[in-house]
Amino acid sequence: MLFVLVLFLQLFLFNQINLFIPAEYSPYVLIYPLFYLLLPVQFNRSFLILMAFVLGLIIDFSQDSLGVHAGASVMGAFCRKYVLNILESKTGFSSNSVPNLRENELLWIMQYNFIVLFIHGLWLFTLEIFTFYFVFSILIKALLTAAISTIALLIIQLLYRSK
Amino acid sequence: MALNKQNYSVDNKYLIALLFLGLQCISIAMVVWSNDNQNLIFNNSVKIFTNKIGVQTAGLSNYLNLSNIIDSLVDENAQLIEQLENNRKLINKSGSIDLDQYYTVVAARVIRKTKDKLNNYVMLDKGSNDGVNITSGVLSNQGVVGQVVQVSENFSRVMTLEHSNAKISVKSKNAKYFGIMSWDTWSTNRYIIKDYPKYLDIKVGDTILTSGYSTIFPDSIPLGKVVDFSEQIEEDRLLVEVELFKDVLEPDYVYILKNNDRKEIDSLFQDGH
Repeated sequence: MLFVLVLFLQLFLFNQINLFIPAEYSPYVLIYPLFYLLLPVQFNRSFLILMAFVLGLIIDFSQDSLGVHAGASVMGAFCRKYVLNILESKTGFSSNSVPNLRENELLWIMQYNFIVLFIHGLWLFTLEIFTFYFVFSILIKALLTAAISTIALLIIQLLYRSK
Repeated sequence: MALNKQNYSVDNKYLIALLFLGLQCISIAMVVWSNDNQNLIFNNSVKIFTNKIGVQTAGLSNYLNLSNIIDSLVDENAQLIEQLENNRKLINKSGSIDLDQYYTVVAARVIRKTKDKLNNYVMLDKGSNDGVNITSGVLSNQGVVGQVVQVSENFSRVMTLEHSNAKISVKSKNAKYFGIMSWDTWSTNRYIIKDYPKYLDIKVGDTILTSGYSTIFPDSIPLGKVVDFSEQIEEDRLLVEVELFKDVLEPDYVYILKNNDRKEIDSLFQDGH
């Protein structure tokens, strides 16, 4: 699993080069949240938050971005449980279930990814901009980031499933 | 079989809450601390490591862009030669000119940029081994990029004009007023000069240049053009909006001005990291 983590980092670096044109509303393409999105549902939550923090921290260091991704990852990992609770399907989760494409529908995965990524994105840009004067910009950025990252993550998960 | 989601939980609620709050505090502390702090030694060593990777990828993308780069370099050479010849004529005419070289110029390649953040920096592949020191000015071929704020042996970090703390002393081409231009911290390539006197009749399209007031940048380097101005609350003052000829984060090659004058340099850039 650690190997996959490093792979995520690489992908994230690649997506880093692909910066778009807009200025105030530029989104990021985030791949690394996939790490804490794909962990089993009943995974020890405190350990999950800790790992998400470390992952975010590594991203921060490679990107000079202070503590921004670390904070956002912690927020995302924390809210993951609540999102899963809300989105829980009728059959519920078994003790081993993992929120990946093997066990769930594409649409469900999309919703799950998007919501958690949106929360992640909101907190990320809030920390980055650090004032509430630019609330609108934060919202737009978070939405766009969540959208683009969801698409990217879906592609990755689809690729991985067919492997 | 559906399990009752409330009951099935080995997670210690208090530990989670504690962990969450604690880690968030650490993250926020890092964000706040790094904004005010001038000394990022820890980040520096990691940066140098990651910059080695950055140099490789920059090399690859530069190779692909080679013909464009060559074109712009050739253009520059033409301009420089032209200036050189003009200056030679001037020197010959007046006879006694101080020939001490005030600036030496080091060309450097940009190996990393930060984009779309509140404080934008670029990283260059020249460092103290090449004679770069802190408070050297950095130019592109069409204006100012910023000022060197951190130097290691082989790399340097430049605070660009697109930075919340960056200020540069400027003047308009025709007027005698010196103003201070800073980033509006919101849009790409938009800068503002506050408290510009109305009586100086500024027009849209006027050229804004470096004022030469600070010793970091030479006099009369064209920076950009006025695109808009609006009245401030004080009736005889304007807020002037400027767009630079070249976006500060665009160039891949820059020129570092090493100031040979060893006197104390009065810096108009406040050192904010």
